[in-house]
Amino acid sequence: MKERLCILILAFAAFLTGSCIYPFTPEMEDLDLGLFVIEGDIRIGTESYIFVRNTQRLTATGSPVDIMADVWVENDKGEITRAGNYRDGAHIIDTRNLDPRASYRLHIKPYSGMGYSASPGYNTEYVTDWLEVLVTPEIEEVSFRVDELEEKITFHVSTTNPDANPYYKWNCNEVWEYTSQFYASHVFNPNRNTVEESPNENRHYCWDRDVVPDIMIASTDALSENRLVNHQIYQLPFASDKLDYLYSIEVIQSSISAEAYIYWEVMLRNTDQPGGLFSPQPSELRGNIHCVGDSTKVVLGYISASKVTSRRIFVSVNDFPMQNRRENCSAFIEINLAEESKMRRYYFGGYDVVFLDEMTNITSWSEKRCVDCRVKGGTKDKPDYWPNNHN
Amino acid sequence: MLKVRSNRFVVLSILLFLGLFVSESLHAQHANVRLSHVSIDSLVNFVRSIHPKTYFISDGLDQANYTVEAPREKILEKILSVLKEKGYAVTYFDEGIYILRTVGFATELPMGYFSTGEAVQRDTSIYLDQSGYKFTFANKVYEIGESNSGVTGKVYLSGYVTDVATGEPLVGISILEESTGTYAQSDASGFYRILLPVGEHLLRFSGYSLEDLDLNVLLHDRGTLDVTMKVKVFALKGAVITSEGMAQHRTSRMGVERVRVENIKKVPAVFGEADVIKVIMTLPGVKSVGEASGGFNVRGGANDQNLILFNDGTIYNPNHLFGIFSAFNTDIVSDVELFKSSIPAEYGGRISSVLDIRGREGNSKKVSGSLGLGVLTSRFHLEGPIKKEKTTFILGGRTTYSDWILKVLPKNSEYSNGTASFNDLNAQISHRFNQKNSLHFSGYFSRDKFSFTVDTTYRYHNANFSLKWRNHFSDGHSLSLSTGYDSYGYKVEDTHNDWSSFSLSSNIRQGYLNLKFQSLVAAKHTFFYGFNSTMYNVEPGNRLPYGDSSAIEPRRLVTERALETALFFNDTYQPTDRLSFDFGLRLSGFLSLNSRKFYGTPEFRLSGKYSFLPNLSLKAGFNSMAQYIHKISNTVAISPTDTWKLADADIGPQKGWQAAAGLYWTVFDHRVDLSLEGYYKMMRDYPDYKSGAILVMNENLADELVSTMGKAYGVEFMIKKPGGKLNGWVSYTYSRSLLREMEDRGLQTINNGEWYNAPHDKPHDLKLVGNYKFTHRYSISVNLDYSTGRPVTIPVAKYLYGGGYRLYYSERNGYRIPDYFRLDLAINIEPSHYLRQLSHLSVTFGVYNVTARKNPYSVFYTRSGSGSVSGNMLSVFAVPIPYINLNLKF
Repeated sequence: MKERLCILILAFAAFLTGSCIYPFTPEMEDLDLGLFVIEGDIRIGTESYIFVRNTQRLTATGSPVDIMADVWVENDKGEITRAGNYRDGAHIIDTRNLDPRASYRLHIKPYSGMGYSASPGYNTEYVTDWLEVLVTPEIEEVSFRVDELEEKITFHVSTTNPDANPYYKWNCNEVWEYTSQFYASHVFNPNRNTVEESPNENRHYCWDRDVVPDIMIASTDALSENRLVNHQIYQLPFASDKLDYLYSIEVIQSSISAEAYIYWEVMLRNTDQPGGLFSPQPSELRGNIHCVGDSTKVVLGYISASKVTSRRIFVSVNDFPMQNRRENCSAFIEINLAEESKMRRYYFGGYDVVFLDEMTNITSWSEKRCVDCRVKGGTKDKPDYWPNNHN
Repeated sequence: MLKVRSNRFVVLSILLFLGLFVSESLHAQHANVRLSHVSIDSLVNFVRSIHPKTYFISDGLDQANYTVEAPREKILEKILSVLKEKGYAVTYFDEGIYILRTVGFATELPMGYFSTGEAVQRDTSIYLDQSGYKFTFANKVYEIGESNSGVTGKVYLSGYVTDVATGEPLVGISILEESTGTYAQSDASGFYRILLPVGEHLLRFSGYSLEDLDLNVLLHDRGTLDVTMKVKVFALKGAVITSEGMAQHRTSRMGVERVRVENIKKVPAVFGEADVIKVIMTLPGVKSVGEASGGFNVRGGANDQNLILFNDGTIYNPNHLFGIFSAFNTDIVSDVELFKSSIPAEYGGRISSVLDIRGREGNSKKVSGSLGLGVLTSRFHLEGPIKKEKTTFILGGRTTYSDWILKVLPKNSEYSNGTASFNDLNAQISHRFNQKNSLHFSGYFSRDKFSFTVDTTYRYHNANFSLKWRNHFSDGHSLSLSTGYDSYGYKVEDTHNDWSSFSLSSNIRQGYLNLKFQSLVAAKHTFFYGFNSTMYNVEPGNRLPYGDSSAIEPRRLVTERALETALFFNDTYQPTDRLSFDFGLRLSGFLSLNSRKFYGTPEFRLSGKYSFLPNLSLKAGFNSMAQYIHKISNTVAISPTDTWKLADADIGPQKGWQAAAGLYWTVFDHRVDLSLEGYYKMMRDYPDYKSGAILVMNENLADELVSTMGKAYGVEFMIKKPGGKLNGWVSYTYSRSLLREMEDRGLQTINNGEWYNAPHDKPHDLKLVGNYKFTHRYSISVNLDYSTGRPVTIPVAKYLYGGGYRLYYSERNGYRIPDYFRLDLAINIEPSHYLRQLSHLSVTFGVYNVTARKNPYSVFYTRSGSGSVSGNMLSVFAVPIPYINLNLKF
């Protein structure tokens, strides 16, 4: 909204070029607050993933360090389920068989001596409020729409909840298959300075994954029935790299409490909407996690307990108008097989072979990123459910 | 003007002849006199050398060179005939020669007759005004009543002060009797009343940049004296313009700022649209949270604590187009009065200030109007008599072509779907039944509509109607009775999902009745008293399905009804010339008809003045106020979707008080006013909201509310030169405005219960508004604004959460955005004053934000794809914005 008003003004003033948004770095003390941030939900029926991290300086680069902790779920009878696994920063608690009728709370006790051994508070314990397990209705449909006017794809959810709880939250995991510009039939072997036929595994099709960072929440409070019809949760522009070949999104739906809804709404406001002309003032977020023994200590995060439901859909590049996705790849560089040192030079200079004309012994080379899809961060790790056979 | 009555004089301020020195060449040849290429002034000077009683008004516009040759004895005759050819009227009267452009004047006086006697002329120096229709006698004595009336003691003199050209009332004119120090001021209908002992008096009429008018009055009995005055374009030699600051030395009120619409039109404004509220913001003690934010803050108060009145009606949203423009058409505005400290007891209901905007009555002599063309807006107005000098009307309207401009934008620019438009319309009719009774009707309607995407549309409107009856029912008493209806409402239509499409609306409707008596019962006491009564009807929220497939549950929050009534009384007591007091009391009562809850508040409005010298005064005052209607909003600016909430059983009134003192000094021959005012104010029970509060469609708002207290203090220094070639003001303010949550909610307490900066707390503030007139036609205006950056809440840490980086905010309003600085320039070209011309075109060129300073409106953070968080600022007017504004008067 703010940028739009700005453009409006610039347009009025006949200054069609220019912008109203300028980079700005406040001169202030760059504090390292080092507050604990606890993320994750108690998901009855599946495994629960709990992450423990610290806040970072605003100027910090790089991801925050994952902190190891003793993490366990306690039910209202005092029974404890402890995190059994730790993988990629996640403390994994086996909550698959827990009773959804019980109340739970989560305990987190960060270990000392891990990374920040000198930091105080590492022996303190954090605990959430008692949480009722909210049962989430099935997702009736996840659909996408092609918006040719604004050149984007929008994703929609439909669901009907027999319960009264009107608050929903979605988490989305994305996987997309993409290709390199060229399908390389051959590969250079730097050990032997030869060009060989590509092995079974191609370097043309890759898969990459992401977690949708948007805060996706909705309320049916104002509706006459507890039902959402084609509620938009997410969108991708046609030009997104993720829509290169075949895109898949898994929508995980959870029912949340009114308190959680407000928490996420404030976070949404604070993160995505500040600075506008009519934006509300940022307000402080207080979650449902407390420091045991020190109620003045701030802990960030909100933990919900629910039985989630999910659904996955695919979007193919053929589902929307063709985009010009040509990579900026140079014309093939032709090198005769005999020129071994030249091939080596190109190989280590960031080029790779595309194919070999066996009649002439001429190899054609291009930039590695145009030949090997893995350069862009993806892997050959095809999900089990993937509908095609491109290994 | 009404028909000439037998008992009044029409007196006119005088345009003195300005003798410009121009060389003249004079050749005596063959007894012939030859004047070669001489200016009109020189020509007249020559005539005067032959015939000393020659009267001529130079309008400075006749740039022609005259060459006249004739025998010495016939030269006078020749010159006069040349002048007649050039369009001058030459009239002989009483041994004088009167040279006037275009029109002559009647050699018969439209004699002002006194109630019983005839004027005694002691001196016949006659002056003329340009139009030649009116003339007056300075130094002459106006005799009121018969010399043998036998009346002794004090008698009332009253009358109307009007503008000579349009017949419109002049408001706030000071009338001072020097020897006794008796003082009066003309009211909103131009009416004045003064109680004087019988005998001879010198009355000085002064105000704004009008030329002072001194009248000798010989009072035998009560009577009336109507006065016409003329607005001076610039000070002429010999003319004295007493600054309006002289009024400052007569009353005990402080912190009252009156701005005439002429001044408003001179101040450069964004896109060249003269703007009442933007000019108010150039006054000391008035701030805003940012450009294009709409609303204003007076002495540390919030923007909903200002009562904005337009012809008695309350305006809830004074903005157009996101606050870029204010909702008042300056063509139909007469003057604006801001009360920021001493608030007269007749006003109430808000705890910070009162902005009283008065519409014009319209020209009572002829139909005229104007057409204006700006970069973004166009406007028209028409005014004139319906029944000559009895009934007048004025009609004005504005519209914008911003919509059209948006449609011109490239199709795929993503803004082509946005729209923004507004219109407003004013109509006022005034009827004067007789000298004692007049009736005024005012109607106002404004609407705004905008959308940034195809599926969300915002609209809001103001509608106000008022009727006012003024009656001067006896010599010492008058009353004004007004009644009206105000309405404000907004509507949002959200259609982005068929299933949940809705319209959301909120409305305030209020009807009111105000009665005010004014009594001048003794020379030392002036009373006013009366009551205000307002019936509120507030629809806090209606959410309805929009479209056939919407499943939105229709929901209307309970309509709130309440009655606010106040009785007020004020005694202005002037024991001596030097000392003056205002003792005001307002008993306000508020009855919530929904919850049957009653709140009553005694409000005190006290002030006192002591003048050490006629031009040096000290004042002090105390005001307390109560406010029974709250704006429900968590944004810092006035947003189009703000709703209002009446006090009820759960939410009480806001209360505030202010103590202030000031020193006023008028220097340089009454031309420059210096003032220094200091204040301290406190407020209680200002509603703020809990983190994450739901403000829309919430039945139990009281649960979301946290009571906040505020304190503000400051010093304002101002130098003002209201008249002259160079006019304007400079002000410097140091002020603070702080807030603090009144409850303790543990970790949830805002800022841990400590004082924090209010969003509009900008300690240092320097403002300059200046205008310099090179000639009648050309002037340059300058506007400079500097202030400390406003406080904002900024993040102190980031954290990865839910797949993205989030921000952790700490101390509320703990950081300041960079200082604000803006310089605007404008060149005004007035029309040439050829009377034969039917229309006059004035042109203004200007540049807003000349230095292109990127003043941040706000600072915010965005996260990039890689997760890093970067600071950004939004600068709404970051480039110099040139504009041209054409105004055609007819």
